[in-house]
Amino acid sequence: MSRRTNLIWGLGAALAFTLPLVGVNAYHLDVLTTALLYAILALGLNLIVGLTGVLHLGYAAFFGIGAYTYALLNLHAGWPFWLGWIPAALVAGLCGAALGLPALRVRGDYLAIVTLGFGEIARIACLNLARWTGGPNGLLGIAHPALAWPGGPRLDFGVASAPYYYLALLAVLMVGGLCVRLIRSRVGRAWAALRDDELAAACAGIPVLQLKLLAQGIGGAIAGIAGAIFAAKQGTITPDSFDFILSVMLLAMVVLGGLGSVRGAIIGALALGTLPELLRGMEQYRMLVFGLAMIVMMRLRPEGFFGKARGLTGGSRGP
Amino acid sequence: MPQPLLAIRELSKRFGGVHALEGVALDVAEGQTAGLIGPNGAGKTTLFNCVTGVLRPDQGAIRFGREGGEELVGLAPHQVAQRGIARTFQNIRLFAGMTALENVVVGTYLRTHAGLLSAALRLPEARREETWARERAMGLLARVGLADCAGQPASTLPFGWQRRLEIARALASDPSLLLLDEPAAGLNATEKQELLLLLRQLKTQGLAMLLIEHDMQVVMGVCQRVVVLDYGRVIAQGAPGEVQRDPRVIEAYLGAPAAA
Repeated sequence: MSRRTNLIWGLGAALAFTLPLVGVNAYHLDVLTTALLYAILALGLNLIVGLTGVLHLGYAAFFGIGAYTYALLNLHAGWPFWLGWIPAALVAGLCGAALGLPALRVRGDYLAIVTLGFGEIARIACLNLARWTGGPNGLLGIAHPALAWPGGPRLDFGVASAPYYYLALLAVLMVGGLCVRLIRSRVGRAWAALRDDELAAACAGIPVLQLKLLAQGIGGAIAGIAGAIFAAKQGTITPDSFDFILSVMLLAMVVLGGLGSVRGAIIGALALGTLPELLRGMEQYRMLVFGLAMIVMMRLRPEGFFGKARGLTGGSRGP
Repeated sequence: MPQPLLAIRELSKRFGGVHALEGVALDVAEGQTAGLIGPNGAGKTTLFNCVTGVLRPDQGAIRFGREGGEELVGLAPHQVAQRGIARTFQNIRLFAGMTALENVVVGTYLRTHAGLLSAALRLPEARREETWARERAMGLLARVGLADCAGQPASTLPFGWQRRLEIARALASDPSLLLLDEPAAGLNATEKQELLLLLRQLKTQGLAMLLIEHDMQVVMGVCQRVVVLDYGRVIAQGAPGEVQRDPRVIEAYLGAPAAA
């Protein structure tokens, strides 16, 4: 990354850190926190869709798996958030890779349908495994995080807005940094290669299936982290927070930002995450305007804000 | 003849009722440059695809390596590449979203080892390896005469340069056998001369090559041995000069002589 883009990101992050200090109200901070959670999810989905070219329509399920993992560990075993997010990431990551094994046997449109099915199965399983997941009522009383200094002051996150905002912001920066490093590494290049041409990549010695599973695992784990933060913030989770519409919205964010672009995923998520709130003034027309804005954007700039020109499924020259 | 590096025996592949390959036997010795010629549809590319694991043959054995070698049939393409076989494609398959340099850096995948963790933490060894891979890729670009377009998107390069870029990418894995699928197709006279020069250099360095080629100037200019395929069978093999005079070969290319 050039010095100038570093500077812009530094300024952006600094501005983001000062927002709660300059008196932005709690409601706006909540909206921004949600948008930041979307940004984490978009970063993870971008690894799967943007980097390896696998069209995933059930990504919200990993968000849910992460949220339920932390919630269950917290409710039954008393795990605090600062430990609980790790198994949440691991379980969601394992589920991501495990789904990849059968799903990657099919391609293109069929793969999209398999992942869509998975997302629905996960949600419906949550609804029906009432003994564990509380069914449609979900899980209540999940502990909010707290920070304590030994023998010193204690900060309970509680239902305040700013602590979660900072937590989500920190997570975005760390996950974003991780994505940039991965993309520029040997593995990231191999991902880009197999997205461009699977056969040529395989003949260059790249283990295609293994690397796709890796991307799905990492993408799942990132969603798991977002899920744990979400559960800790809400204190309550229900299956309908992780539905198909969320998967589609996340996909729209990644496409809007530009497939394969880290900053694109972040900007796309922030834009689509805050736009419906910015349009509040239009009352019942706001979703209409929101939809129109997306259509116009895709018509004028199909590659998104920061993407190279490439379609969702048109990238790979597979058999 | 020295020990074969690649030994193909009784190789058969059918597509429906069509026998693309039937009982093909073929050897490439270490350091040897062999040509594979034959009319269109003779099964040449199918043979490449069977060797590189892209297609699974119905029958036969493909052994590769020193001292009898290792069976390649049943291996996936990336496993074949790991064993030391690199290839180019008849209809060039570059990574279109990448620059020329990045294409070649991808080719070093097998020669580098950095995993996720060292990439995420940006450990010194990963950075050193990255520098090494870029330098190696630059060196290979210079070698095929493309040093000046390292930063250009691969898809914007002229056709003949794309062919050379594909060769550089294949060389980046430091293979012991290079399979070239019609490297001269679509090249103009100057580009052909440059290609010949490059192939001769590789040959001098002891790289074994098997090339599919229609251009006789290239075949005669670089191949020590030529194998002729027609309708999936080997109909002749030997030194380039002999094969060219072989009546069966002439017949395969030009049709049977008119009855006197």
